[in-house]
Amino acid sequence: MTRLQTRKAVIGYGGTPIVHGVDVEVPDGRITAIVGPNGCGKSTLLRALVRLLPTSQGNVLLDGEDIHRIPTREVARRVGLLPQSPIAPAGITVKELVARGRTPHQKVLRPWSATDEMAVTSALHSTQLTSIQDAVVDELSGGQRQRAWIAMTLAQDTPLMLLDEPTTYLDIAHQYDVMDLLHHLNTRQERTIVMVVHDLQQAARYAHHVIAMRDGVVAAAGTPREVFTEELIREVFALEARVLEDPVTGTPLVVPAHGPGGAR
Amino acid sequence: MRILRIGPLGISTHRRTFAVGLVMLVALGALMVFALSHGQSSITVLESLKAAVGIPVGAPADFIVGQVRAPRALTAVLVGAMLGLSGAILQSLTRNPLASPDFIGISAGAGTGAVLTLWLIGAGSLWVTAAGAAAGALATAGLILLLSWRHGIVPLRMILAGIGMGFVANAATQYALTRMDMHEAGNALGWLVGSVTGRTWTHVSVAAICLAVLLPVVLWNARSLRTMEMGDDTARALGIAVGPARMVLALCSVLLAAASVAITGPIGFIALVAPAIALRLTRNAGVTLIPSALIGALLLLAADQVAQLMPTTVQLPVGVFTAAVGAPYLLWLVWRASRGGPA
Repeated sequence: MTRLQTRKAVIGYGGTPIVHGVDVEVPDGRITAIVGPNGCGKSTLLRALVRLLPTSQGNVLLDGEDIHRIPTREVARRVGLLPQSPIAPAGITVKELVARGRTPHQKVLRPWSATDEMAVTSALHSTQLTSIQDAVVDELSGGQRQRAWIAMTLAQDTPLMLLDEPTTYLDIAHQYDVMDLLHHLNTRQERTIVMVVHDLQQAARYAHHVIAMRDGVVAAAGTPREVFTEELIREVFALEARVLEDPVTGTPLVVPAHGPGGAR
Repeated sequence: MRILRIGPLGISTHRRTFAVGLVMLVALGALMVFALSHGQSSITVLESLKAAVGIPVGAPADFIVGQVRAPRALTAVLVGAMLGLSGAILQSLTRNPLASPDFIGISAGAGTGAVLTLWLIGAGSLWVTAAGAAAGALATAGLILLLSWRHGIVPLRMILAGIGMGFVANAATQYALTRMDMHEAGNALGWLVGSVTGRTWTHVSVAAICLAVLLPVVLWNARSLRTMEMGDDTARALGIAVGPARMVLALCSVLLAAASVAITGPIGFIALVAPAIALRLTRNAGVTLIPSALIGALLLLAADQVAQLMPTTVQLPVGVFTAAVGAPYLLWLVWRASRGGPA
């Protein structure tokens, strides 16, 4: 089952197509990773999935309906997005930031409700930010800050959550911290998650479904085991690699066959 | 959080913001009483309050308070609020504390529009001048956008283009002044300094109507404005129609500045300073519209009172005074930005 899919979607910025007619299905209740080399159109696709970019041909369907026919606020109640570099207003506290996630549920002159408060409390709890909810976001560590942004997207309370490179700029411990959090949200709260990631090991470990893109088209889509093969890594990333079994999770482990003394 | 409720409707606001707003209101009220009851002729506080609301108390007070001091003070309050609001919107939209209508040429454009109207149509109704000012301000804003547009608004380009447009607009104003007859040019010059002296109930009602129309539109879009401070993508993902909201808010900011120029002439620095003070006092993350408006009102009223107390032979126009006080603040901002602080 899928609530979010594209049909022959051509997407680009101001007339120059970057994604050329892709058919993508986001499986419900699963974690989907979009991978590919720089400039392959993965962020472009993600942005189109939440209506930040128009399709010049084809369309994006949300619950079977063309996403551009659905009002902006309604889209925001069903699909949440964490962009790559969001801006935290100077001096905002964690709780205030998370509360901003309630925007699509609020109306002018309708005050903060008990539902809003509950969504924020629960988002803070799931991201383990309750104890630092009054801290100023600018003063947090990179990992905590990213958790605060994820909490804001959580408070939006959408069944679908999209994240654009959620682990970029984080050190390795915090990267896995964020990935564990996403896994937790997926299994405990049955949220459908779509993330653009660079790290293939993370994609292989955490995603149920992988979409590999190259030059604006989908090169392969399927389970990590189906997508992460030595042929496909060569084709998509132009990288010679061995695919081993991850000793921790049993998922495919992509090991580049490069480096001094690397067996080529 | 504190929630103000009227029936099923309500507005959430921070306790501190609410408290600051209340203090500002009280201060404004007190300053208003001072403005009404102090001056060269001594009239008691009670008499001046009565005269201000139109209760006859006798010869000098009825005229001095009812027709001179009250409209002058109310003009200062309303125009100050307009400037504070206009600056707050512009600074929030551009995410830059240097953006204010007087700094990026919008007020200069409004001045040109108003002077051209005086020259070509003549001194008619205040509404005609206001329409001229609005046309000038909108044309300037349009040109600034055209010059600085690169796949969206680039704040620094916009500010530089605005400063440039300000010079162009002032040159056009000067040209119009040289072509007008001496008497009209003299009047226009006096107005271009920026002053609340000699303002009448007509000015007050024009200001009140403009504010009554524009303020609700601004407040209606306040949530969009705050959300857009987090970046366009985040705002869109949170369900804000960024394009239309930005257009409406920018239009409101320009029109507020234009109306203020039509009523008092260009008064500098209030729009630049008031939102910054509002942010410091409320410690809000992001734009605070009502406190900015209240502080703008308080600043202009206070500036006019201080200007009146200055021991100069001719009464100091409030525009000169705000420039003298505001310029150091601007220099401080630039100095801080050049040291790598938040621009």
